[in-house]
Amino acid sequence: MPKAKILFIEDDPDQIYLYETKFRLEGYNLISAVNGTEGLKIAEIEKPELILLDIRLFDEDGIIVLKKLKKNVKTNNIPVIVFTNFDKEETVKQALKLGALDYVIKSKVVPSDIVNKVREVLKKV
Amino acid sequence: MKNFKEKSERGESGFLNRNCWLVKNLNSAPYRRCKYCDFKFRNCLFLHYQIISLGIIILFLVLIFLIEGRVSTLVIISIFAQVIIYGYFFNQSTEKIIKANFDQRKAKLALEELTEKLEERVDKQTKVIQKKADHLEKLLKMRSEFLDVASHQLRTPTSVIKGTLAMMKDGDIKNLPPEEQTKFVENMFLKAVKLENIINDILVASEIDTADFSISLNDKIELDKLVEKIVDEHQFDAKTKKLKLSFKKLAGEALKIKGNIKYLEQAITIFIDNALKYTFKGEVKVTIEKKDNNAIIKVVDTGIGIPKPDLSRIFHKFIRAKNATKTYTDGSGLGLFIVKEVMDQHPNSKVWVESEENKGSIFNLQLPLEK
Repeated sequence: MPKAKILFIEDDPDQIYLYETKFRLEGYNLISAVNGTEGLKIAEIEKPELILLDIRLFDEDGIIVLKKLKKNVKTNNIPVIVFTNFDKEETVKQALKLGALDYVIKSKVVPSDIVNKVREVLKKV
Repeated sequence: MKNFKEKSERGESGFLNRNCWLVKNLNSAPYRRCKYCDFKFRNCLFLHYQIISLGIIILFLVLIFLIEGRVSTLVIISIFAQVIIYGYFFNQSTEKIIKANFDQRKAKLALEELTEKLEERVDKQTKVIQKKADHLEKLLKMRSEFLDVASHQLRTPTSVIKGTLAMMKDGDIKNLPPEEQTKFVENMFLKAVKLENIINDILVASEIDTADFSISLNDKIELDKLVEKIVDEHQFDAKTKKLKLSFKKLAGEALKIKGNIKYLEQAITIFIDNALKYTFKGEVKVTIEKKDNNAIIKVVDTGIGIPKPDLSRIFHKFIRAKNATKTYTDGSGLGLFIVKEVMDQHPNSKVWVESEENKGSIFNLQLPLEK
């Protein structure tokens, strides 16, 4: 069985390194994009099974990236989990309304938690 | 209220109708008043002439009666006398009406004037209150923005440290090749340093924010030594980023100043930190110059520079230039605010920046030399 491909849109290289390693150890293929524009492009080309999306990105607000993902017919079926340290009620509501499956605060979970979450979502899909 | 309105419309006497032609005529401006009876001039003449002419007729009739002795003359006299008496009373009551009307107009004018003044005062007060409300709203917005930014920035390094430790605990990391293990430890260390810096910025900024913030300025500082020490501490960071970091001191003269060494060290550190953070190729030069009786520390970089619209706001709290936010998400927006506040505490000192986007910046600190 081929490894499930997960796209991590995140601007902090240390976070990318941490989660890339964790997901690799758990049998997933985590690819990353360091900004919103790149994320949208990779999502379209690579067609990942799931997207982990940060909110505070270099170039664009994660919410705008989420909107664009959901508007594009090529990417609107990909489940998105917002995975960020930006904890603002308004943003959480907005993300869920736009179709994000969940809004997870990085500092409140450990890497195995997010792996479990992803596994759960992929099972349902 | 309704009662008052009705009454004022009908006049003080209670029987005056505003729409009555007489009152309308009496009230039409402009007009002159008779100085004897306060009547409008036209009506006054009319009534006066009427009474005078009737008086003359009566006198004439009395004369006829005295000459001819006819009873019918007496009857005519009495009729004319009655007309005069009615005329007099009519005059009197009209006078009352006019007076009441005049008073009412005066009162109305005074009321209008008072209302206008009150409105003016209310307007003024409303503006003051609105201004205060806007200011408070701005402060609250800034506070909430600060909390959003600060919590995000505190959480980002925390999540990496916590995540790495959790993987160690789960036994994930010990199975990795040694270089990967080292990378994890390094990342964790760098995030711990970042966390410490952010906490420091927040602590200093909150200290500065207290109303009675003041610092002691009694340290005798040899600027060259202080700046050299700070530059040396940053050589490692510069090397990591493959940047040249140099320090050029003034030849042959030690520049001495008086101030607060702890805060000045922090200010210079913030300048050098920023220069390294926002420069990707080229170099960062630190120099000390002497001008008049001042020492000027310059931190010159070949970095991203500051866009013109952001230049004037860059020393404000939580303000970060647009290109800075895009380049480096972890900034607290407090560094330059701290520098500005520290320099404000040092008498006759100043801080300023010259910059061009995509070319670089020069951050300057000027302090008076100790005589």
